[in-house]
Amino acid sequence: MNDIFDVAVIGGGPAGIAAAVAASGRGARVALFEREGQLGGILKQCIHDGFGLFKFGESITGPEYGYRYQQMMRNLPVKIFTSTFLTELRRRENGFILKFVSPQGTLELEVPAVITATGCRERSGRQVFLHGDRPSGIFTAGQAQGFVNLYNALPGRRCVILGSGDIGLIMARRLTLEGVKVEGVYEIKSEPSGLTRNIVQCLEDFSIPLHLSTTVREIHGRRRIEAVTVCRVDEKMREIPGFSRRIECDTLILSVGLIPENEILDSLDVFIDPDTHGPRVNQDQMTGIPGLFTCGNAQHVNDLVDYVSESGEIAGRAAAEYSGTGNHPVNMFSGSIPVESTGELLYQVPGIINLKGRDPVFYFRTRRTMKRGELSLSDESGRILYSRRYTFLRPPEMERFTLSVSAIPENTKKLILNLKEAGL
Amino acid sequence: MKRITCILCPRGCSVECSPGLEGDDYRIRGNSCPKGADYVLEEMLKPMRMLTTTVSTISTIHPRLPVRTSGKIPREMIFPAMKAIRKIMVEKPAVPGDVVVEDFLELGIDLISSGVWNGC
Repeated sequence: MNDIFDVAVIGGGPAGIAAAVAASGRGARVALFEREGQLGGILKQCIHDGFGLFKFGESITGPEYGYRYQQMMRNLPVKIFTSTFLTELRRRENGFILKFVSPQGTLELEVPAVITATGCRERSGRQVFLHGDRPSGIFTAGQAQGFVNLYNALPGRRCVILGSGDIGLIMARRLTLEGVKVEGVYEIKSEPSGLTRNIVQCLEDFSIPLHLSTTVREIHGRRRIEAVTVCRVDEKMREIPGFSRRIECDTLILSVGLIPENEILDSLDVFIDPDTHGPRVNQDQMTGIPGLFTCGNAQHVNDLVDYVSESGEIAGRAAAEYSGTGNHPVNMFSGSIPVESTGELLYQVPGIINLKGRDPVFYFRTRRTMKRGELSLSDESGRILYSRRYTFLRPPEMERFTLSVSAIPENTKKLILNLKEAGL
Repeated sequence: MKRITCILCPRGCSVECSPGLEGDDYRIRGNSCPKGADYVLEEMLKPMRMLTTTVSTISTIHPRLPVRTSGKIPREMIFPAMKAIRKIMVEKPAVPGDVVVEDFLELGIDLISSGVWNGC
């Protein structure tokens, strides 16, 4: 590889494209690598609307959102490699060595800064301990979405959906519109996981029943699925005996969670946050390894693509600055302090704040629904540096707030973010 | 009396909507803001929806093109719209915004492409 690049972006979905646009806009020489034949990532198959409300002030579809960002990139000197798969990522003295494979052969590249925008995977049936037979006809929701929207194939004729997250709800509607009978959506928790808007427009509009505190316990069928047994569960998600029911179906759709995809980082010993399942980063989206940045769903699973784009823009800008200024790694970390989540917070990002860095954008989720919540950020002595109230916090809806880094005193050792339910 | 969940913000107010004493008058209770009242009234009288789906193309490599209505259509027109869409076969390349069917079903909106197809 003869060309010289400052920043390599791994992944050409919404996070990677936003990162490439931001880095290139700052004057960095950027190479973008995408394993599929076309850019766009998951947006290509997300044909429903609701994207872009924050970024563009309109509700547009996934493909439209992806197209707008690709148009931005068209005007910039980003070198794009499609059908190119990263096989190895290693540290070098002044940066990283990357090895790729593509239909043209192998490729090797050395760069000072890398941004991983590798997205996430769907949790499979194997990982949620579905008992019973192993027939065909079981799909994850995203897999089914790809079949219907890209490959002109229906997964089946009569289906049961496990999981009331947004992707499960969206597929309940999509399949119904294409003539599939959706018998019901089953959710193991006592509250739905997806947005209220989707409960109304994907289930209520089509009279598709939602069964809470109920899960699929067993699968029946030899070659093709013939039925499932569902059962009621208690608040600890244990089966309540005597409350199970057999449902005939030829398809089971699973919408049971997303997992950030970061296997390529295994050899680098990057610290992975156990709450987000992605690398722990500072407010510049930089991991514990100098010059290695991450953004989008690879870092933590987002609800809104608008936030994914924002994290990509932050990473792109920071990676361009890092590779351009030749900032010595040690300087990037002196003055960095951890952020701890307490109280009713399920998790928050970023996990580290660089006191010499830019104003951080925080994202957090509540552990449980609350009508009124009080968020406060304090230092290790308990002094409150920031606080605000929220109405109607729900786990599926991630919240965002910004903070001025100058609000944090220079000698602070630790930040503690706390969420508690406020009195009525 | 109908109970409708407002979807305009995460509050998800459960709003009661019942016919009032005179003709067109409706009584609305349970909303926390005026936008909610407007939304619930529309949902009660004439619910409208964006329709997003795909149409067939003549390609075997990219057999579907994502499309959507350029504006909301009455909820009861969703299945008739799907029936009409099943008859469409796209033959020319398209980018988001290209009109696939003008004045779709005479509802005053177009059926437009929301995806990219390079013709292959």
